[in-house]
Amino acid sequence: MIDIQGLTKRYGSLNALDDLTLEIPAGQVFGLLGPNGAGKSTLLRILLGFLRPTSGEAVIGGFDCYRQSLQVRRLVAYLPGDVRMFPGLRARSTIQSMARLRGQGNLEIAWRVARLLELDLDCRVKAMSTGMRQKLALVLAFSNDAPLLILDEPTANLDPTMRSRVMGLVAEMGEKGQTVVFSSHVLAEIEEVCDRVGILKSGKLVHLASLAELAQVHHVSAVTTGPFPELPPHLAGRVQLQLLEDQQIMLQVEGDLAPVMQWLSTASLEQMQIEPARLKSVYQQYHHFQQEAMVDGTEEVP
Amino acid sequence: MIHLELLRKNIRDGAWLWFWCALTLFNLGWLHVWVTSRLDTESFQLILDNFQFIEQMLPVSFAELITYSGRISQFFHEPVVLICVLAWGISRGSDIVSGQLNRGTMEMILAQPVSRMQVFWSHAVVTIAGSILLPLVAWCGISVGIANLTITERAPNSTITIPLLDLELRNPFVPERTVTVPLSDRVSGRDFLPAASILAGLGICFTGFTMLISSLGRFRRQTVGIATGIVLLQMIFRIAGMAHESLSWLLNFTVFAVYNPNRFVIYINRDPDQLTSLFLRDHEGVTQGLGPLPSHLLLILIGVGCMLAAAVIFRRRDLPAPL
Repeated sequence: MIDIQGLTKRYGSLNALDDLTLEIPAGQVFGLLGPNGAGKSTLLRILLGFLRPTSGEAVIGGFDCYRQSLQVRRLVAYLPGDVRMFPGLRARSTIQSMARLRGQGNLEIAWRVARLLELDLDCRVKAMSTGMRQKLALVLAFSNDAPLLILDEPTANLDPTMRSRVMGLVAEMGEKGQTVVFSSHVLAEIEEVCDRVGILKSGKLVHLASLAELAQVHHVSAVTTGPFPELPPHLAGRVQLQLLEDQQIMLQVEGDLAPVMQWLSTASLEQMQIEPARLKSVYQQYHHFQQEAMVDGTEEVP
Repeated sequence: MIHLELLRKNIRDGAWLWFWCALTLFNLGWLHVWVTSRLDTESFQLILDNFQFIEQMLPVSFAELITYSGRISQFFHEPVVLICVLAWGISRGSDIVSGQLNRGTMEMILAQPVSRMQVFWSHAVVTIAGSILLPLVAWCGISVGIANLTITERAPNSTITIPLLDLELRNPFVPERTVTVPLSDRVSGRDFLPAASILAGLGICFTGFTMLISSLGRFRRQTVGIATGIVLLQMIFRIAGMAHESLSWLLNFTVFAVYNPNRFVIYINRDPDQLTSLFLRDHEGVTQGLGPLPSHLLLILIGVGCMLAAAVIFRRRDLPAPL
């Protein structure tokens, strides 16, 4: 559905996106993660044809995102990160006006989503709170029958109940076979609905993994009270061992835990904790490094 | 090129501003004619005689200005008239790109399957139509005034003819009297069409220029500031250029140099061939600037040229996220 090859966007000396290559197959719910300024919104804006890439190309459904932007936008429903609407219109008129503008879209779905999100259709946009405007934008995005849904922080400004309903809608879209690109700062949301996740940092795609693969990874931490045995060769490919200060060890294990537990039973350990690897731990690898680099003033190496 | 829904939206967005400008221009046009009809030509001559020093700053001589055509066409130099037309052009012209980017609504519209050119031209058509219709409304106000108002004039003197000498003298025994005649007997609404159309040309010129500034920016206030500054500078060039001979070179740098509505009205009235002539010539045959047709063409060419440049820039530029 989406094919991005060597995409670079430069503003003067700043690399907003740096040689990004990514493929997102049809029907996948793809999560895009990264701190502010990582390039998420730049990537989404290039996909919509708002920005011209400095080099490389982005293709959606076989159409070039910049040169064939109109054809691309027929395939895309978009929720912007910062929702701005026509202040004089009521919610109902906005939905109808956008449907006329699009020439497609389903008003029945729009009214259903509006009911689900408890949107007051008679309220004027200028009288709406930020959350209400977000709901209106969500109605517009979800009422579109486009095969690709691009959501830039869809749950921003929403209360927990609405967040969960929006997550339900995203999951529903995924089940219907729509491709969803989902940018968020809330890791739990990405874990909840996404099939695959990409982490951006300083315009580079630093991590790309499927959530199913991530579920097979566990973190083991413990304090050693004696000599620690060597890692057996048959585990070397899927166990990463870190020896920390104060006799602490940290292991990242991919796949079956049983042989690892067998090996660890030969060691003298205390305070052992085993937990499934969460997206947070993956994300923190990059985020943590960034903080260190800021403190030390050294160049960060992802 | 034009999207019906966007066209509807742009008409809705500009409706109130256009309505108030149109109402002002119509009423002001009628009022101007009413004031003209109340003040007889001789009184007007007396007033002007006390202000001889400003004659050089006027586009026409006092003799031409005191005619009904001259006085009514002076309406098109009224500051309120220029403000209404330029306010519409700058306000709507600035909205076309930077205004919509600034508000963030551009992102919402362009997320739909509409091309940038549809967004641009659906806006431009409404803005240009407004710029053309406003002077037309002003002309309607003048024409309605001319059609409905009357003027009071001194009736021709009664004369007596002295036989043998064949001399005709005023009859001193008949007192002077006045007669009331329709203003339309002295002047026609159609005479002021060249003035209304050059005002429309001026509107198109500055609307196009504002669109060009708008296509380059992302903040509406910046666009309005630059466009207003340029308009004021152009006006200052015109005033300074006409005020003193030594500054007349400034007239080469202002589009207001070709904005001569009352000169067009008076000269075309006197000689209809001047409508298409390259240069205007006064009654002594002295060149008085560009003729009506080239003046219109110049203003429209600048406006349309700027508009086309704006469309090309908007088509190619990056659209930043709203701040």
